[in-house]
Amino acid sequence: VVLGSGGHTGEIVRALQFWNPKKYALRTYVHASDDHISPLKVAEIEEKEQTAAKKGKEGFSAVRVVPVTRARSVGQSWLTTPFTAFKCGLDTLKALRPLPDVIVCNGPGTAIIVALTGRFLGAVLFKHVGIVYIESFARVENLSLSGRIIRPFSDKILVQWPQLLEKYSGLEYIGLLV
Amino acid sequence: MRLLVLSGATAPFELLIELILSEEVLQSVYDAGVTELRVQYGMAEAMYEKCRQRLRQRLDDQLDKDAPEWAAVDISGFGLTSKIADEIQAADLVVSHAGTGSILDSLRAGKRLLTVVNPDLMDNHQRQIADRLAAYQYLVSFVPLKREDDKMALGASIQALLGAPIRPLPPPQSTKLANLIDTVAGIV
Repeated sequence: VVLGSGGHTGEIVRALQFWNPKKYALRTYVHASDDHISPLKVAEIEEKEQTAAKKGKEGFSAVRVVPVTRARSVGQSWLTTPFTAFKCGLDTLKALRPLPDVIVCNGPGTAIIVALTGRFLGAVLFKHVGIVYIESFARVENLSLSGRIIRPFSDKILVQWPQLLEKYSGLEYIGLLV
Repeated sequence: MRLLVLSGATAPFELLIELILSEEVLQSVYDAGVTELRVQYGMAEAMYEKCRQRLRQRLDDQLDKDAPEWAAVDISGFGLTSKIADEIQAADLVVSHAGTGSILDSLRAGKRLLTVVNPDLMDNHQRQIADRLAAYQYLVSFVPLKREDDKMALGASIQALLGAPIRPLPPPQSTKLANLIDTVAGIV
């Protein structure tokens, strides 16, 4: 799960309200290295009443919280972005060992770099790394740049407003997620 | 009745603070039946203090007359808090900047919400989400035009909020999403 920071982390935490992390032997939470708030939110995802009741493979349960270089800061020049994005990708290669079965992410550039890196690494190693991308609640009229970039690579791109289905192909709508 | 104003935790929304802490809007707030006004000023502390000071000055200038009605509204403020959910829970009405997080926090707590769009923000997806949610009647939206009549218009919007036909936001499809994630991961 990639926690992008600020409102994006907020949306992911809300969206994962009923998701049971304990069904997964290993949960890796990736966040930008300068984001000190997102790691605190991991507890909200991991320790929920619902998941306490539904036990999964308890024997294997493990949680990791891993920082990576932020791919692009707000307002950062697009000229320098390839360098930070590259560094983010390198950090991700180290973070995603072993490779996950699925990466859940939303809008921030860092999340996209992590997801794409995971996907490509998987392709190289002949393992399918699934991507579930959750477009923001605020995206009513059009997909974000992140959504458009990740679209060809995602297993699922979930939007929260049905009108987006008419504008783009390959999207899925199951209702509000936050 | 308590009104909570959320001006945002990261970007200062000085216009909202200025409008709320004006005599005209305070009077409307009083008329709406609000007794406590709680202001999250975030990064706009200077503006908050300046407005409070201006109000105190107005009251001092009028010591020889009866205090204006709006003076009865108890005003308090704070910058940032980790317990925003508690503040929202304690409020009866919320007036907030149109940030997604604040909107969700307020609506999911079941509070009547008036969003105020910041006209100075470059990208206006805040405008888009506020308009869309208002069209569906999940909240009431106000867009300041940076004119003198903003105060009157905001006051009117706050009073409209009380009686507006507001519908609850549909519940999140959290279980469907959880199942979908598990399916992509190959977990049955």
